[in-house]
Amino acid sequence: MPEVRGKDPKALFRKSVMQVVFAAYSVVVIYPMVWLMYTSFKSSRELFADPWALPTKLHWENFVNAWRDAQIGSFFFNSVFVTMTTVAIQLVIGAMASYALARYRFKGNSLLYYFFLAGLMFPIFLALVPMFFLLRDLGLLDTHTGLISVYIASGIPFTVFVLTAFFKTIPKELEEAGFIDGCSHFGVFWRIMLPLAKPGLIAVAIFTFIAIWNEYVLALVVISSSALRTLPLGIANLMMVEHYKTDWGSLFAGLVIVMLPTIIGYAVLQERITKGITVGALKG
Amino acid sequence: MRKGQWKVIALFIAPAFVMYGVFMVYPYIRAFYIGLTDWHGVSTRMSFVGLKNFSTMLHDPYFWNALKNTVFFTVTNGTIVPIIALFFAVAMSRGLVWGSRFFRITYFFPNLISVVAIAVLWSFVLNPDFGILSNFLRLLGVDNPPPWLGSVKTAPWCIVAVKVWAAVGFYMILYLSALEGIPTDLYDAAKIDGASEWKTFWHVTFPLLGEIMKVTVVFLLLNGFGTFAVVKIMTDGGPNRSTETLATYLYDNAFKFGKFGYATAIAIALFLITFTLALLSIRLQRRETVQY
Repeated sequence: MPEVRGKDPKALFRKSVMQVVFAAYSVVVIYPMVWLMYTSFKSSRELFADPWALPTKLHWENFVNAWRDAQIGSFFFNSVFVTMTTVAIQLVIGAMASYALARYRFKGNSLLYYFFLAGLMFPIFLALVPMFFLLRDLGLLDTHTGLISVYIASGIPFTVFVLTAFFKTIPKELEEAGFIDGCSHFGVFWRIMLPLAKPGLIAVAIFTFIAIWNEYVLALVVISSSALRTLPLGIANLMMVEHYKTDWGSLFAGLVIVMLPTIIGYAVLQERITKGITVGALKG
Repeated sequence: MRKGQWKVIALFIAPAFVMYGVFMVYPYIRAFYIGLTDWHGVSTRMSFVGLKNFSTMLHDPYFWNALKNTVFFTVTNGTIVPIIALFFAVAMSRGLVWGSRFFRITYFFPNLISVVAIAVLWSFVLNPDFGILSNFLRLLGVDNPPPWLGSVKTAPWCIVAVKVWAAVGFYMILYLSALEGIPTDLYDAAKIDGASEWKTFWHVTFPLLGEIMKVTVVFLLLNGFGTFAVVKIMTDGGPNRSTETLATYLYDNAFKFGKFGYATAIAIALFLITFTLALLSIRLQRRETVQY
């Protein structure tokens, strides 16, 4: 039997079948999003007339309607604010605690470490009702401060877990040199340890950013005013409650706006994001 | 020991400790008390009822229905996702497809989108009028495609499909990175022995992946028990409660019907199930470790 560069026809056939399977699944992944993209430029009438057809003219007003009338614009800025604040505060206080746990020997150190980690064991649904009433009693219900507070708290176990492991890998000598040069404890932490822990901090930041940007359950419980909604909450509400007055074009446009930052971010930071997320999962 | 070290340690740990203690630990602990009360949200009317909520639960057909659906989503999630993801990962790492870098990037993408966006996107795709799935089937000559989310028969499977679609790429990447760790001489040895691709998979690859398989399956099971957003947005538990999960049922009990005590008791049940599962998996993992 003739062999083409060491490959028998059977192997070639198998490889072709495999190729078709992979291509088919990539259509299943990509096509819904491509369809979403071009449908967002169609009017509702065009959509119902022929769901496959490309838009006859670009209905940019869908985006204007979504951004302004459906409030996607304000949801967007709410999400930016809540996510950024959460990531920033969580990184700082999480890194501080992790540094102390990784670098200082004291009584109860490992007990405290496991206390921080214990949060990973509980489903968030267990906390919903008590959290709702805690925030109500503190006057933080239906505020961004309340939402950010529970976001920070819920991310602490993971942050401490990853960063403690990270700080432990940094050689002691660097820190000691800092003390000899007359740095304070905080100075050593801020000027020496934090820069050295940068890869770990970036991984945690990316992971937290994506988790909070996409978060739904806690936002659903904490936020009730439409002006304070984050993007996931806002788009879900448009879909479920209002059906956006059956203005499907604008609803499609709204969903494009929700997904766009992720798509752009992924195009730019692809390697890093994949790594950040998988590292997070492997350790968590 | 440096002077004033206690103060330093306390200062470093305090912010995280306070935030975590107040907004996480306290609610979790309080939940175990609320679950034993008949609380309806008004603080004066909160009486301790012992295990009454739990006996109510045992006689609540909707609870059993939600549990049944949750187990269905959990089992499908924990089997279908790893099988497909492993299939893709092995095919890629064994060089059985061209363009694996492209597939790696595209397959992973759904994992970055919010579950909410995925749920809304798939509500569009599954729409009986303009959705592309029904229209695609019509092109193939199917006259009456099922109403997907509108039927008791198809809605649960739609939820499963969406969960699988959202998760496969992520687990594929995890398996790929585990496969990279397998020394190539093991494959060479299998090839010399004349083993087929299938035999190589069963006798070389799969046993070496044992550890990560177990971890990921447990993770997927836990994730399945927490099924909430996809259901809430796509079907809100319907039609006829066919997709209602423990999480959506407890959410509705609390925030729609104001039965906070009962809702929290369901949450405790959910916790006990997942906790047992996690403990079992830790025990399983200790028993054997494959080395190479």
